[in-house]
Amino acid sequence: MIEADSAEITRRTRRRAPNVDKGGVRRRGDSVVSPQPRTGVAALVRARAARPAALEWQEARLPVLGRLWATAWLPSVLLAGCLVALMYLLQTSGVATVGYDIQHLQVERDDWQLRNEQLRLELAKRRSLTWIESEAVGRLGMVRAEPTALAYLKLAR
Amino acid sequence: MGLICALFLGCALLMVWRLFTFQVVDTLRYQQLANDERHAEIPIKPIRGALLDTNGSPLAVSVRYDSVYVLGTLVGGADKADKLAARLSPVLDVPAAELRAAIDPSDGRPKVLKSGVPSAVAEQVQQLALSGVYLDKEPIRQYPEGSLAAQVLGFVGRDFNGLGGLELSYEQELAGTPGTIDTEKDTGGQEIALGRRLLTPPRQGSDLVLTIDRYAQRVAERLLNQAVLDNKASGGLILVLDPHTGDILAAANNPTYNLTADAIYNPQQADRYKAKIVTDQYEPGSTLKTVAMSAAIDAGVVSPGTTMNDTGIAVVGGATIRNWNGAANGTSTMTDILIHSANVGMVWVSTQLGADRLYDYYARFGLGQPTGVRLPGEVGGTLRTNRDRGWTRVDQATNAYGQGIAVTPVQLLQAVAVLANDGQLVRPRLVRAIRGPDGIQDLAPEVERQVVSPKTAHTMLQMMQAVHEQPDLKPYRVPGYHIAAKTGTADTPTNVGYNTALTVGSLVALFPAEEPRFAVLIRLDGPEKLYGGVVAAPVLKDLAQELLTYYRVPPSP
Repeated sequence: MIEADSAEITRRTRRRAPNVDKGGVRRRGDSVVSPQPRTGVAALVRARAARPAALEWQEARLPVLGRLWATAWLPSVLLAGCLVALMYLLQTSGVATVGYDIQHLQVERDDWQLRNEQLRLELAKRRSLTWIESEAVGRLGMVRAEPTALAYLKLAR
Repeated sequence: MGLICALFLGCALLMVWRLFTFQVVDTLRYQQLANDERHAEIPIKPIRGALLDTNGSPLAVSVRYDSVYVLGTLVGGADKADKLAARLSPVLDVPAAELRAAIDPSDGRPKVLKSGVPSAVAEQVQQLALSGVYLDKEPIRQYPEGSLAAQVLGFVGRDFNGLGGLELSYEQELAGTPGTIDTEKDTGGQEIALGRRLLTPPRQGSDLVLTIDRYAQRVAERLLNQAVLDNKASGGLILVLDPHTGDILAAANNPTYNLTADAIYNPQQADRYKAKIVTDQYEPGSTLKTVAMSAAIDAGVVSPGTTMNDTGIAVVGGATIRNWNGAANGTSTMTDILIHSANVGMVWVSTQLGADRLYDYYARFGLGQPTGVRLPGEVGGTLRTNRDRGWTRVDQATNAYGQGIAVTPVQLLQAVAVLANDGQLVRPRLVRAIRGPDGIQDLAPEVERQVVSPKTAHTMLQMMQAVHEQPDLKPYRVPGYHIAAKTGTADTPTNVGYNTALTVGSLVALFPAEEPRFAVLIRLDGPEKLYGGVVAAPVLKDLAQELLTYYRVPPSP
């Protein structure tokens, strides 16, 4: 199989390179980079060995992929479009869900802030002089201190 | 077949035309309609600023509470209304009968069942899931200290606008500016999460830090209420001022109104809602002698040791003026005139001073003009000078001892406080700082002018100290402290002269006399015992003791 391919390639190469004679003599317009091998078959084998394997694989498979592309491009585009649409849908619905979650949390936060305000007020009421006095006198039975109970002491300097 | 095709073609063309109309011709209109359908502008109410005392204790704050409403038509009949009332009663702590009376199953308008409901209770109501019952959060103005300083603080209406006192005069600062959420809503009225949302945040109201000290205020109110009761007076007031800064530390009034009542305003007691320290003028009587005497001393007309002969009667412009007790005090120094509160002596002083200088000094002391304390309804008092039509020499004579002239309590205390502040007049104030969203704005004391020299001011303090240390007032001295004071008893004017049986007993005081920290005005209206020295002096003693102790003022050397 390889032998047959080599022969085919050799024929093609001969047809495609009319400016190279058997002796490898350079003519006008030829490349000056490297001299051509003198023996045709051996040169072709060496050239074949030097070519990348992927290129050969591509060359071998191109007609198959082409056929595949010709039949499958429409479903592929549709599939890709569906995937993109699905992802967009998922993302937007996700954002919407998060948005509603945020709204819910904001309401919850406001509720806690409101409770906080009410507790602050309750605290202020419990610290008010009116309440303290009523508790002290009414519940604890305390009496008002006489202002004269305060005495100042003179300290020696 | 051709007909059917033509029909279909016609329908198709019609549809295309209509679509073209909707999509192209009337695009803007339908876009507008769609936007209007979705568009929602949610207002955000700003939180009204608080009123704080000088130490930051809240006197008036806005707190949001739930209100429980009922929509009668959604309740579902009388039977269900009974059940609803029975279920809500224990939660709201309102008798079921009262709730039932408020529910009218045929009424389509919302009715408040209870407002000011705390969050915990509101949650219980929500869990009941009663048909026709719903909750709404509303701010409520609360007064943690009760009715303390009610006339100064003022109150707000249902729309949360200030209607009196500082709530009214500082409305712009307290109210703030509303904000909005410009958004889109779905068919359920919910905000669309991915919709357009433009937030204009509200500017919250600023807090006012007052000069009022809640302790001084409470002491003043307690002593005033007791004094009104003891003296069977119709009312009264106590005003305490820091003479150096003009800070009003306490402004107690009796009668006043209840800030904690459900309906604060009672039209039948409209007079109680005024800030009387600036709205009500009265004849100050002998307390004004301090001002007239200061003028005479500062003008160099008299000195504390200058003497005159007090015969007990002075005839001016054909009118006879007598001392309050009808006594003739004989040869009297200027200090004696103040001690005896001699009207005849003050007539003599005013004559020596002359009308021009007397009224010029009165104007410099701030009499006859508003103080600018920024309370609503402030009046400038009534002062008829020799430049006014109808003025006579009798006016000059009576004005010197505080009759025939009307002042507001704040005006009088501002004038007397000059003597405690080296002769400088400071504008009284009730707000010392404004705490807003942009930071704290401290308001500096405003020194208006030099009224009398520092020497005159010190001389007057010594003379007033002598007044308070006279034997008659000995029981009302405060051990360890010197007080400069002047009592006053003003007859009340009527359409046919003065009513001597209905007086205003008052007193102005500066203490400690050496370096005054407080300027105080105590006034009792219509006291049974008539005289300021009798009714107001005991109150001064108690008040001074409380204030000196609370502010830790060391005793006089």
